[in-house]
Amino acid sequence: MAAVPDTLPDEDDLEPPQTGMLGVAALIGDQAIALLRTGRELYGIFVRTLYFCFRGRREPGAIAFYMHEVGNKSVFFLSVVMGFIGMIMVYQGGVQNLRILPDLSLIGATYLELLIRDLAASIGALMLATRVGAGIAAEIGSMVVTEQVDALRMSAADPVDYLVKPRFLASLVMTLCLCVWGAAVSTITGTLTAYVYFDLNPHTFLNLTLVDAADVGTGLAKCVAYGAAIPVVSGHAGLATHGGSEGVGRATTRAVVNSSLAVLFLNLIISAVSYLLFPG
Amino acid sequence: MASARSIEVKVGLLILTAVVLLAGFILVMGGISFEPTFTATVGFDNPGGLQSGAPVKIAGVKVGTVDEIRFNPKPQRDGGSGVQALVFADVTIEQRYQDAIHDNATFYITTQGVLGEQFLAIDPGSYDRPIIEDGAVVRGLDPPRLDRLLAESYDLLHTTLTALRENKPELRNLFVGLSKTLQGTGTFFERNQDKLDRVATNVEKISDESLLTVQHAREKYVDNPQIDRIMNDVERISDTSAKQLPGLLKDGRDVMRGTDKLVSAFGDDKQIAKVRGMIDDMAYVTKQTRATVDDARAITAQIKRGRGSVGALVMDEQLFDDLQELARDLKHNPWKFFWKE
Repeated sequence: MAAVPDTLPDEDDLEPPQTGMLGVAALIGDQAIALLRTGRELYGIFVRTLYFCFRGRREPGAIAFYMHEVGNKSVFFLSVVMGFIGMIMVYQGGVQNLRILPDLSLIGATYLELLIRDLAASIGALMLATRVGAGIAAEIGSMVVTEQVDALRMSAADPVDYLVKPRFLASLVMTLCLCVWGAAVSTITGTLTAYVYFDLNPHTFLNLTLVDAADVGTGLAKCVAYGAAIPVVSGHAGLATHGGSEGVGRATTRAVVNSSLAVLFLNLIISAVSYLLFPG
Repeated sequence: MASARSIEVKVGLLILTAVVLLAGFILVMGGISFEPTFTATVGFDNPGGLQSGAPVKIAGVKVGTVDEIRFNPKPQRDGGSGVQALVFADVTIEQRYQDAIHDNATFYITTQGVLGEQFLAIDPGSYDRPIIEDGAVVRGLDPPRLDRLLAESYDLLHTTLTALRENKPELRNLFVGLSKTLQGTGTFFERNQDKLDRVATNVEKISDESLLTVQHAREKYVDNPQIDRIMNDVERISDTSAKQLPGLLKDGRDVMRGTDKLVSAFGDDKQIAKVRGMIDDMAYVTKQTRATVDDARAITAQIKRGRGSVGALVMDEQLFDDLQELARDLKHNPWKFFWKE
């Protein structure tokens, strides 16, 4: 292990900041190294979380508590968001469709395919990333800055086992449930919008001929992946908090941004894999 | 703060709701069916955009799915079924719809809506034909080739444009000629307006008269009740004939049978010779009778002319009167038979 210097080096001893092309290259390199380091840390937390899921402490009460926090307390928020998303999507889709063709018979089929394959999971997870991710990062970050996490470590308790794993399990189940709920709400509001604005029969709108098992499987896979990613990314942001209350704020912001990016990144990967596996 | 128990209940309710929604979606709306199925293979030369998993429909009702689309590198016959195609689509159809599909059913690819996904549609075929068998291989109707239509339309348009571009002087001359012809025609009509009006009037009269003629002919030969009566009579006659014909035919048969018997009775040569002799005798007697009749006719003619004693007696009125006078006189004076004054 490298020895820690007693004093910080003088400013004269530091390398002068690079300018021009070298400066840009240094900036890119610095960001790339930071990204790699973050990725490795995330991977470490994820693996340790999975390990503690099987070998860690059994605390069903804590998991139920976090399920309530993550799931039940997000139902209203998610219902409102997904309801409006459904209305807006169908309204805009219908208006754009009518500019090209006076036939809205397939708008329901395409909307439901898009909703089930992608929108219900991705938009629901983005909303959960803002609400749940921020909450997890703030809680863990506060514990870090108040040295409660250090106390846990001193007690030979792994903070991942105590703090991340229950949230991870709760989020895994609840994201799936909330996305299914959000899809149902979006379907209902979309159907109502199509009926009210375009006089489209609900039977015509609720057309699942374009939805196949691949769409449902892809949507569910996304729900599970997002449910796993949000607590891991947010927990990492919380555990990496430093610098007092300002650090907690930064950690919260970073948790929301990184969770959202993780959702989008996973969406890209899962969609690509899905299109490769199920080209139809 | 909510108790731990109430939290668990709320969480459980949310999970249950999500599970029910998901299961309901998959089972009820997802069209997953546990009905027994049978398979069929449909051959196409070009199935267009038909994909694996596409629905199979009869009259808009989903009855199955396309399982797999196989490409035949050589358009050889498929397992001796007699169907020759480049692409074979294996389809699974629910058994409860098997009775509706006959062996001359038409399998064709169509789209849902204007821009919808393609699916396989089945026209069930004739009801008097046998039902399609499990594992049957049939030939499908290829969808219309819009890409080829576009390519050929493009080619046609391109050729037309090239021809127009390369023949501009000729086209100009053509249009100038056309314009002159139209001008000349206009002048001709203007100059001969009166004649043309008369011609039109005459044509109108002719058409009116033709119409009247046709009407009259119709009244006389079509709407005339006499025609109906004639037709009724003909119908009655035919009806009566139809009723009487069997009896007549029976009588005819009897007559023919009698004739046959008669002929057979005179079948002997001697009998025939006798009959011939009788006929000859009858001919002689007839000849003599005719001669006698001729003589009698001559005598009667003489009497009518008043010749001879009988003629004078019959035809002379004076003699008749004298005889009448004589008879009357003798009646009143019978002694005159014996005594002459």
